[in-house]
Amino acid sequence: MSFFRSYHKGPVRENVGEAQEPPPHPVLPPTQRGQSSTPLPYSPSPSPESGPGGEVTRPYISLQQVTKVYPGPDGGVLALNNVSLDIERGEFVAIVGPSGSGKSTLLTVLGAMSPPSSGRVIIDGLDLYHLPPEQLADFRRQRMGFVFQQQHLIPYLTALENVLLPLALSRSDQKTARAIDALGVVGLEHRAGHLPGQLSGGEQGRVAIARAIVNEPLIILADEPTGNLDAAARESIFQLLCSLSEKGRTILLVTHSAEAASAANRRISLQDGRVAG
Amino acid sequence: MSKGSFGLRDIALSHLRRRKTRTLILAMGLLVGTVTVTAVSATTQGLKTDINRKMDEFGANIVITPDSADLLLSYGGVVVSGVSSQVEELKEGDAAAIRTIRRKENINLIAPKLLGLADIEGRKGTIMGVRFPDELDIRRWWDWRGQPPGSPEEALLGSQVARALGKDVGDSVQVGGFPLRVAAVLEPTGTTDDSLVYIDLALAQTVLERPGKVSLIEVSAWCSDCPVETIVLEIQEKLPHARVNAIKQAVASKLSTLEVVSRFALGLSLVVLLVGGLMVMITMLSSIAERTREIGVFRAIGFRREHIMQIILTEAFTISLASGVIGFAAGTLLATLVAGRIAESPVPIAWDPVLALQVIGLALAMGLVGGLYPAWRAARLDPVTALRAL
Ligand SMILES: Nc1ncnc2c1ncn2[C@@H]1O[C@H](COP(=O)(O)OP(=O)(O)OP(=O)(O)O)[C@@H](O)[C@H]1O
Ligand SMILES: [Mg+2]
Repeated sequence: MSFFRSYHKGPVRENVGEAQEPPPHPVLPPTQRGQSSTPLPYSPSPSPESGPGGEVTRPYISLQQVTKVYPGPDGGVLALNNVSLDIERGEFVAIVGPSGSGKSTLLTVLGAMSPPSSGRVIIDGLDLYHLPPEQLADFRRQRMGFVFQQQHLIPYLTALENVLLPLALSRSDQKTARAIDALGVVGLEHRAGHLPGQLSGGEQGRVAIARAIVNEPLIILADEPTGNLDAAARESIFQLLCSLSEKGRTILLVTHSAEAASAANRRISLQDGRVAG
Repeated sequence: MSKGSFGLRDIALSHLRRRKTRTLILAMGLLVGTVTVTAVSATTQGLKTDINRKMDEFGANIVITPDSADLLLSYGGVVVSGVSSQVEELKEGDAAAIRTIRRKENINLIAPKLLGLADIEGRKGTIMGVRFPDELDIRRWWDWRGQPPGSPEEALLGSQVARALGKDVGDSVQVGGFPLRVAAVLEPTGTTDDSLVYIDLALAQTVLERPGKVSLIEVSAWCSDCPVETIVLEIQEKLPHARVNAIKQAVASKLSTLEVVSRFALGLSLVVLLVGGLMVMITMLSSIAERTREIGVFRAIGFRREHIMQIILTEAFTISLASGVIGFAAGTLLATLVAGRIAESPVPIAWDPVLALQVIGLALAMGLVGGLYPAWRAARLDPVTALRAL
């Protein structure tokens, strides 16, 4: 059984449909993805980009003058400084930049996890941080796959149980099969029963990747997922991300690796919290 | 984890299972409290029942005397009248009549006795005619050397009389011209009992030439479910010529001693409860940073606050329920041992369902308060802040 059985080829870029209609999904509709929660509300304000016949042409992900200040002494830290970006559906974006330039911050703000100090983040017509916190949580669970720079596995859950976490709220009886598939994709199905403490750093990173893709998310945000990996494992993770993007997934990858950056179809370079090209 | 149904419950149970030390310390804190409260509560309850039972079973709580006031003689704090007078005497039949009152099941022991002066070894002395088995039952605190008298030819001597006569167990003693064997000698009691010669009631009636007569009747009645006054009134109705009195001071003072003891025990168990509660708090707080990070992961993955509360509640509920049940069982068993030691006889300790509910409720309250506050705080943070805890 293949992890990718439910994916199908879709156009890399798509326009979002009319306001009253649910947006077309390049992948499974929410019901088939086994989610128990109510579908997210859409708030597609009539946009100036509305074309003839009600067609809306707007970017899939849009950051508008996003600033993020971490509070602290001396006025805090300005981690993102007036960043504006558009990213289209299915794009594979590499985010590069020196340490401390705001890459992880950008990812968490994009990932519906950390509200910006000012500015807006709009994904698929949704003004993210205007959603109540609980709907933001549903959004993360249903749409997002996040690989943390520090992995953040739950230490008392096995590799398999960690991968199962995003499915814990679903009533599907396929959960374990799907989690084993995802572990197989990163080549770790034989370590399913081990606790994170019993795995190497690279193996933990691969479990974190499996956890990020198990829910078949539309957007995958990965913060240096290949940091601890050898060349072969790194290569296979890039292959995985490439094939996911070819299948319509939007990928944002923070990396220091030049080869990864060249594999992506777009590169965003950050410098002191600003987009430097 | 059951196949294909990994859920919030599995997360909570995995935490308890794989963080054994933490789970154990938490359970210990809860157990210290629940075991103590159960043991103290069950022990005092058991002792109370035991004392009530013993007081009802043994020792007179009603004294019946003739209703006349000439030639007073004081016996054991009770005024006995008419030692030599012939007016309004009690008869042995009166003792039997007591068995015919409406609440006759409440009557435990009846001990009629006849008191008088007789010739003892050529001197004047006070003799007390009694029915030996009943008398020994009602004077439960008596200690003696020898064997209790088993036949009318045997006597029991108070310690002072024995010394004055120079008699000991096995010797012969002349009472009213009858040669009796000294079957037993009382250990000193510090009461008038020490100066009496106890002989068989029928023999005393012969010696004192008062056939069928008695001087007073002591009665022990069960009264755990009824006021003793009710029984007094019913006896009074049957014996209008007699004076019927309840002895209440003894009962009241014993119960008040127990009240003091049980208040002290309650205070002690509250202190232990506080210590247990602190243990739970410290355990919870010491893992707050770790928990905050984990909650950050759950939130980042997209769990709602209610889901996180569900995980925490399942954990707290499981461990509190287990600790409550185990604590109640262990506390009750402990009470059985302790109460037996204190009472120096087996004290029946009941499995009290009300106490069980109280103790389990207590454990749940401790566990939930200890677990919910940190979780509630952590779940309010945004995921990134929670992930950065410490
Ligand atoms: N929670 C926080 N509180 C205060 N300052 C923070 C916090 N998180 C990040 N920063 C600061 O914000 C800036 C950007 O941090 P960020 O983690 O986004 O950098 P990065 O580009 O991911 O760096 P690296 O490549 O080292 O991971 C840094 O100066 C960092 O010190
Ligand atoms: Mg970073």
